[in-house]
Amino acid sequence: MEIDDLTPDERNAFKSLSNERTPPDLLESEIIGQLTARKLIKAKGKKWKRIVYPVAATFIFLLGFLVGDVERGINKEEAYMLILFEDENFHVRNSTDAAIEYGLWNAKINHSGILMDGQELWNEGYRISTNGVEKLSSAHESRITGYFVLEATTEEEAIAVARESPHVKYGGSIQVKRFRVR
Amino acid sequence: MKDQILVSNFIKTRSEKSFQKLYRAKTPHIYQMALRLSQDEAIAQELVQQMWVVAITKIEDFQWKSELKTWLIGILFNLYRTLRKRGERLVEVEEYSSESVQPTISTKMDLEGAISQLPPGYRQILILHDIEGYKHREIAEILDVSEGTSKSQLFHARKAMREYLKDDLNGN
Repeated sequence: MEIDDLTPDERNAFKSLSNERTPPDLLESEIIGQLTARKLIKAKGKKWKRIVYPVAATFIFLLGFLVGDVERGINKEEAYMLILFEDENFHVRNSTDAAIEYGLWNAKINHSGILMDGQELWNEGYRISTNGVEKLSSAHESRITGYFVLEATTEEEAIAVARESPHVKYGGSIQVKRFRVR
Repeated sequence: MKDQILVSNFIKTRSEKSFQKLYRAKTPHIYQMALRLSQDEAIAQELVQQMWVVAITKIEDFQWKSELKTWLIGILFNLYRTLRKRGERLVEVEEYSSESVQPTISTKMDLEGAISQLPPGYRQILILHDIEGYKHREIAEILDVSEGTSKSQLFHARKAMREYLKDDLNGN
């Protein structure tokens, strides 16, 4: 089999195609956020900024999320939350491969239009109860490490999304819960 | 040389600013390629995002045996292949009945349209060879296939592209 050459017309047409496209500004900040969270790049700014900014960002995020739900009109009957748990059985052999798998799963459900929101949660945190404030830090304790908000048409659809998650493969578990939108 | 300076500055500082310089120098090209490959903005953005996570994780091991751009493109195509394996059925070789039809390409949009209709396997070869100008040896490395497969796929990709262009001209 021989490769026929391009005609001059075709060659010119290929040359005329643009080689660059400016990505959305948000993409840069999302990537920087991911790299910072994974400690692949140093967080920008002084110590007080590193504390104040995330708090402010969380506040803005929550505010946007609450407002966003009203604007998006999340269907009260079809709102599900996936709550991701990890314990000592959770084991990732190659974190890069895992990042890709989670990213692609995320992209798939995002693309399908049922993903409303989702975030990874830090291991560290606090439990507040009548016993007071207890620091969560044990790596072996079952802990919530992420959540996803879905607008699935059925419970089966939400379960199917959870089953496809690489999280289960790595030994984590997922609770699927319908929630009430007030 | 410019790439080496950007990478070396980044490795030295690991700062957000040094990453931004690297990102801004390389991403417009990579993003355009991801869009052509995936034909979907959300997927293209996810591919670019994951590509940078992988690249920055491994950047200290990069040996400069190829250009930085080629290395990044290799990661991007790897991610794209993983995505396809998960979600789509591959259409690798399809035979077209027309005899070496070479229709006229009147606009860039004709060509972009024809590329977008190609099966993903053909699309990636056409992008790498006819748009990016890579040799079959390099494509074989990027896609982890033989040179023969790369040549064969290009043959079929061009044939398919001409078929789509012919259909467009005929108003089909």
